[in-house]
Amino acid sequence: MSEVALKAKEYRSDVKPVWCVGCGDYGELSAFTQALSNLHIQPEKMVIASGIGCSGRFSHFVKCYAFHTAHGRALPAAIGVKAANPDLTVFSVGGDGDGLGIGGGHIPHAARKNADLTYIISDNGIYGLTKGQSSPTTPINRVTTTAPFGMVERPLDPVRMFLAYGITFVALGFTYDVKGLTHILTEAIKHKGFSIVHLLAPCVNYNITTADSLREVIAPIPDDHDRGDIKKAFQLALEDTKIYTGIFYQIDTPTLDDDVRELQARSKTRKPKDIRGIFEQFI
Amino acid sequence: MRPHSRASRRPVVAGSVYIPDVPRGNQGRSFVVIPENYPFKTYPIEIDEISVKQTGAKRGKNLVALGALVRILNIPKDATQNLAVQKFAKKGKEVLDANLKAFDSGYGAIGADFDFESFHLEATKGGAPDAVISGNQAVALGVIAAGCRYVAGYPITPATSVFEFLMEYLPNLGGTVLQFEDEIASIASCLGASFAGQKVMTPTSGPGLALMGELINLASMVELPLVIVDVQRGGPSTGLPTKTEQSDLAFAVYGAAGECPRAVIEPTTIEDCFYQTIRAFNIAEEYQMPVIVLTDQSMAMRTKNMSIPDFSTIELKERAKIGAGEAEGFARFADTPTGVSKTALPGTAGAMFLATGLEHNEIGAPNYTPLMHQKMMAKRFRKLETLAKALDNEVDNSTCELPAGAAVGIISWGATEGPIREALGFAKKEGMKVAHLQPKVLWPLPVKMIDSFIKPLKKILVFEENFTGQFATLLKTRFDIEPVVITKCQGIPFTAEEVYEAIKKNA
Repeated sequence: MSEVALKAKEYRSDVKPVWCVGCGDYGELSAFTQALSNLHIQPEKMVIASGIGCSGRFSHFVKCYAFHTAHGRALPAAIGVKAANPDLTVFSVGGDGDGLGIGGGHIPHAARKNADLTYIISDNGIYGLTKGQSSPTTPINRVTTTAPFGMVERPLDPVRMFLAYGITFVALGFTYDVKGLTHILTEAIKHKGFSIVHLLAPCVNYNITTADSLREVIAPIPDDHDRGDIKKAFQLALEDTKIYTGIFYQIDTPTLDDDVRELQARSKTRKPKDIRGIFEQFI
Repeated sequence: MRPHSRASRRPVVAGSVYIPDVPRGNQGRSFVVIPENYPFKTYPIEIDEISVKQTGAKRGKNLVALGALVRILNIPKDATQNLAVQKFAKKGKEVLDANLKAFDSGYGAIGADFDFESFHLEATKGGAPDAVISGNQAVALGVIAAGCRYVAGYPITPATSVFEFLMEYLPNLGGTVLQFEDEIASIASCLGASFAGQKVMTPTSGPGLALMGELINLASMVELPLVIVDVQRGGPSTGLPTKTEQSDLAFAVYGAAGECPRAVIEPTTIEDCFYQTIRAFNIAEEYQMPVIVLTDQSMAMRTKNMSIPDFSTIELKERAKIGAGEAEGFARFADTPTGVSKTALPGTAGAMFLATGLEHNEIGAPNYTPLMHQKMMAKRFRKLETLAKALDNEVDNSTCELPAGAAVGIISWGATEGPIREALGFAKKEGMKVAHLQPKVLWPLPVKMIDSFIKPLKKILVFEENFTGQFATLLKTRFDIEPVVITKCQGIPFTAEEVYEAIKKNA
C-alpha cells in the first residue's frame, strides 16, 4: 500500500467498457476501483488476470498490469503471477462459463494452494458475449440458444462448492449493491490467502433473472454471523428461502508463499546451494 | 546369456566378442544368430555357476560379469574393487566378501588366451571427475543453470524425473516448483509467472504437450518467454508411455489454433540436453516466445558421464526491458525491424499495459482491423527470421561432418545421433565417405546450414524414430530434395547396425 491515495476513477484505464447499458459489470467495476482506492493500492503493483467472456474484458478497463488470458485459465495464470512476485496484489476475474464451466476444475486445486489473491466471478447465468448459450448456472427450465426446449441440467450452487473446497475466504455479492460489494471486495483484498467473491450479475439481454427479482430474495448476512464457523457458513448457504450476500467464511491459514518459503527452509540443510554443488552430487 | 534375454536377440557388431553364459566347450548352446560376414569371437564363461559357487546364489552374477569385463578391458582392478567395497560395505562383511569373491572369480575366468589387443579402454586423462547423469537430469540441470526459478508441471512418463529433480534441488536455490492439477494449469501458471518476470519452464510428454496447445498460442500472441520440455514417448494417445519415439515434431512446430511462432530444439546427446536447455531459455527470453525442447525416452532414461561445465563461460540472456524514462509513451508490442519489442514488468511505474490473446495494436489494445492483423502477424513472425539469421552465425548449433568427396549424406535429428555416429565409424572402416548433419535447432529451419550441407551431395538419408517421417516432410517443404527416409516405429531406438545396413544399401 502506498500513501498516495488515488480516487476510484483514477484506476480506470483509457479503454471504455464494451458492456451493454445497464450491465451489472459496471457495478463490479465501480466497487472494485473504490476498494482499490480504499486500500491505496498502486496500479503498477497490481495484476489482473482475466478469462474470456463479457467479464473477462474487465482487465482492459482497469489501470494495472493486465493479462487477458485464455478461456478458463485466468486462475492458474494468476497463481503463477503471485508465486513469481509475492509483492504484487493479484486478481483473477471472469464469468460463470469461464470459471465454473471450462475452468471449473482449477478452483478446488487453487483452494488447496491458498495463493494470496482474489478471484471475482461475475455470474450472469448465461454465455452473454456469444449471445445466450447455457452456462453451468443457468436455472432449470430456462430457454437458451443451446437449450431451445428449456434447460434440463441442474445449475451449480457455487457458494456451497467453494465452502466445500475449503477456500479461505468465501463471499457472495450483488452487482447492483455497489456499497455492499465495495465492502466485500475491500475485505477480500485484505484477506491473506485465496479469496473468492461470487457475484450475482444479472444479464440485461439474455436472462430473465432481473435485478428486481433478485432484490426480493436477497438478504444481507446477519451482523452476528461468525465467519470462522464453517457449519454456520453452510447453514447460510443452504437457506432456501433467501440468498444471503456478504462474507460467509474466512479463516487464516498458511498461504502459497508461506508454503514455498517453508519448503525452501526445509531444503536448506539437505541440498546444495548452487549449480556446481548439484553437479557434484552426481560424481 | 539366456535365449530370452534382450541382448541375445540383438545383432552382433562387427569385431565383437560374444560371451555366452555357458560352460566352455559347449558353444553349441549359443542362441544368437550371427550373420556370416560378421567377424566375431565367442568366449563363454560359466557366469551362473561361478556366482552360485562363490556367493551361494545366482544374484552375484553381475559381479562375476563385472570382474570379467574389468579383465577384458584392462581397467585397473583395484579401483573397480574399491567401488564394489563402497557399494557393499554397508551391507555387512559377509555380503561384501561374497561379492568380492564373485568379482575375483569373474576376473580370473578370462584366460591368457584372450585377444586383449582388440579390447581395452583408454583411461581418462585424470583431472576433475565427471558427473554421471541421465538425459532428464541433464535437462533439469540446464533449467537450473539457465537461471529458471519457476517450474510448474504435472507428472507424466517419461518426463516425471525432470520434474522430481527440480522439486528436489530448486527450492534451496530460492526457486518455486509447483505441481498443478493438469498440464493446462501448469502452463497457464508458467505464463503468469513469466508475465511477472520469471524465467519459467514446464516439463511434459506428448499427451501433455497436446493439452498445452491453446496456451502455447497465448504465449506466442502475448509474446511471453516460456520453455516447454517434451520428453517424447510412443504415441498416439496413451500409446507406449515407457517407450521412445520422435513423433511430436509436427505438433511442436505447427500445433496451434491459427499460426504462431515458436522455436523447437532437439538435443542430440545427454550432455547436449544440458546445453540445449540453456539455449532454449536464451531464445525464449531474447525473442519473447515459447520454445519447445524435444528429447525422447531413450535419451531421458539413459545415463552417461559428462564433464562438469565451466559455468563462467555459459552466457545467459534476459528479455529486453524498458529503461528509465522509457515508460512515457511505452508501446509494449512496438513493431520493430527485428520484431522484438521491449517489455515492462509489473512493479514498473507508468508502464502498465494490457497483454491480450485477442489481436491487438502496438500498445496492446484489442484491434482486429484487417491491416492491423496483417501487420502484427508479420511483427511476430519477423522474430523467427531474426532468430534464424542469428543461428546462422552460431558455431555450436549442429553436429556436422562433411568429408571431401562424399556423395551420400545423412540429415537426422535428436538422439539418433548416437547410432548414426557409431554406424559412420563402421562405414569409415569400410572406406565409405558419408556426410552427416544433426541440427540442434529444428525450427526455425536452419536454412543456410542445410543448404550448404546438401549442395555437394547426390543422396540424402533421413533417419527418424516415427512412422511418417516428420522431419523429412519438414525438409521437403523448404528444400528441393527427395530424401531416402528410413523410419523405425517400434518404441526402441535405431541400432548402429540398422543405420549401417541402410547406409550400405544406399551408398
